[in-house]
Amino acid sequence: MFRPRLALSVAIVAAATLVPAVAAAQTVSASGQPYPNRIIGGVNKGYSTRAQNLNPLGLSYQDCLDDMTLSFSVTLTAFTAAKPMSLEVWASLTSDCTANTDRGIGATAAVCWGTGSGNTLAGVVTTTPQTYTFNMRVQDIVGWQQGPPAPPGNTHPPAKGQEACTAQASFSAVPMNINFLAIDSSGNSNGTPYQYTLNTDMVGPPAPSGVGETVGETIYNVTWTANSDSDTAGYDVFMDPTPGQEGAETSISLEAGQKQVCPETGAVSIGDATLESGGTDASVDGPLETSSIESGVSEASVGPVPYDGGCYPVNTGGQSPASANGYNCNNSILAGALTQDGGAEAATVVTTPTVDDAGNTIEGGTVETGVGGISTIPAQFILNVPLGTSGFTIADKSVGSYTIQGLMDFTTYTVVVASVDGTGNVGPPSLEVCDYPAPVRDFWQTYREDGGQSNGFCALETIGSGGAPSLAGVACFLGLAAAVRRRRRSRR
Amino acid sequence: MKRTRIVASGTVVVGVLACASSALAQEDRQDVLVGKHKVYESAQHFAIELRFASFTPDVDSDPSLKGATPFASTLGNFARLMFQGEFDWQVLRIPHVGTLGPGVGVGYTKMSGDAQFISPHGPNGILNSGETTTLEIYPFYAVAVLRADVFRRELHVPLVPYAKLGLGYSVWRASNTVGTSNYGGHIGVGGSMGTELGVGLAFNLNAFDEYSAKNFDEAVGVNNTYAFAEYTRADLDGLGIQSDPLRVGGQSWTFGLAFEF
Repeated sequence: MFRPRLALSVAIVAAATLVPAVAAAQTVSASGQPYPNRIIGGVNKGYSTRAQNLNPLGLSYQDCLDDMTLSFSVTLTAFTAAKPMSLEVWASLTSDCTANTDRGIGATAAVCWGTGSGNTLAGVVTTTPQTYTFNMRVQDIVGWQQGPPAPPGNTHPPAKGQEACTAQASFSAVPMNINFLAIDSSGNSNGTPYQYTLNTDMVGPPAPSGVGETVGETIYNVTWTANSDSDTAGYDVFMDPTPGQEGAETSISLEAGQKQVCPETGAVSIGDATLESGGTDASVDGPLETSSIESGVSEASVGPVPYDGGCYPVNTGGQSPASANGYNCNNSILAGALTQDGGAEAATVVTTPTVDDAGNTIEGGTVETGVGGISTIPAQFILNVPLGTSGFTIADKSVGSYTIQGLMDFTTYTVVVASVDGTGNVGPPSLEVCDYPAPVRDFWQTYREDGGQSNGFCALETIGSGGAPSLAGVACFLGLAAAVRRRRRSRR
Repeated sequence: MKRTRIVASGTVVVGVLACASSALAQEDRQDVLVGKHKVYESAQHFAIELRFASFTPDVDSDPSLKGATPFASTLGNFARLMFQGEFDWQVLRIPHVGTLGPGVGVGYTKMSGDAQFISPHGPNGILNSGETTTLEIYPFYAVAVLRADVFRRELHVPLVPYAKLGLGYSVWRASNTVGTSNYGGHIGVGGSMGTELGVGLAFNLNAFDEYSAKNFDEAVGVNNTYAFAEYTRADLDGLGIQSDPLRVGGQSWTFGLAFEF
């Protein structure tokens, strides 16, 4: 015979016994702060130091270089005195670090590493939920991703320096886990941990290939083969001298075995001292042999040259050109790059194939190869990016050309292109190209110089004296009247 | 000579417009009987043409150039595609001849080339620069159109010869990579006027499938569909009232489709 009153009593007693046990499980959770604060030089920069289009919640090379500290705020619940617990923070590429062996306990190698001795709380007792702050340096997070120290050194590994920023092998973003674990007195992870995943991207994408250029009157067209890797999000175009700063420097530096050619003004050779027409010998690193002046040219023809006068160095000893377009640009400013391959020769990214429930491959994995790195070219040489901001010259990875206008004719400009990833890392520069804009003759100029007289819409011919207004004249008059009337109306 | 052409063109256009008042005087339609069913045929008052021409402007024929060829030397003397649209109002039906009425058209073509360096450039002395020079032409015209569809209607030969005569005005723009060209203060934008002539032969595509053609008429009101070939000539020399215009007219073969509705 079923007794409802008895059953209800049993249920109440059972619930009263079990609920405290459940509630007693230690829980680590995010506080009301969803993302870590970023601290640079003791200054709290908030959640992000980058524009919203540049993966502001991830970590970039610059974040690492700035020795940024991440400040996490987590809440601990039910850390009771009856069962003493510690709170430890571990970083890992792939693991949640709850397994003891992943943390190096009972193992000869570990996949997790501690994030600093300050991030361990022993004997935590919180009868009510309590929020704690944990700070960890970006360099300590990303510096050990190629392999933490052997146990037990991985528990409190030594602090990393800027070399940590070059430890990443892949130019694609690498997710890393920051694990907040409740550890019991036996060293086991217990309760509910909290895991925060960071996208770290320390390497810029590979340089674009196939860089070429053409010039016109005050313009410079740069072309390249658009990158196909998944990391590239756009391109930065660097130019030296920067437009508007043409008088500041001459970017050509000649070496022995090279000569400078100035076709617009005449030129002088340098190094091996083979004179071509005119020019200056300001950069001669060897004696000028007047005997080798080519016929029809004399030093007297050397005149004032605007800036570098469109001169360019060429190799004379059968050397291969170092630049992409056959000129030997030799621009030391635009050649800078830091290769970050994490010790590997070339970065390779292998994506996992997609398979269906039956294990059949739906989409094959792809392999991306190329050498990533970080451009060390000063940001002032990036075109069309306002100073003090981070961004792209071209925010479209499929674009393969860029036209720079408003340049000075007869000034040699050197240009390189670097790919930029979604975190704002600027990759190594391409081969450099250099050339000088020079005057051109377009169709209209040719037509006018050849005697063409056409001149706009209303070039009317008077037919005889006192001729009646022509159809075109009427049309032009009406058009002008309408324009004047419209302008008057708009002023009102 | 120029004045004679103007007078002739003007007369034709004015004549057509004068006839417009009689537009409502349509020819009685002859309904076609197929068996016991009366087949519907909608009224026909208009025509549109989609036109594609292989076109080279006569810029270098300008006498003021004295034999110089600025167009050929900078843009290349080869034909470019010009596409046009034309709308005709078949105001008048002339019995045993065809339709007559005004038409207006507009088109577009563009020709580009590499601007040339003034002096040889770089170590290889190249002349072609990386700067583009372009001439764009937007031709507008108004013509009187005579379509002699008597052969199709009375002799059941699916060919319709036609002729067009009128005035043209082309707006043009010369530009380079930076924008509209400017040489010595002269801006590379303008317009050129002249005469417009077209003579062509249209083939009535209804002949291939009368049934579909009738359905097309019932559904959207298109009476006839043609494929045509036309010799087109635009002499945009200013008509004697515009001094030294850029000669952006020319002669060309135009092909396309026409729909009467």
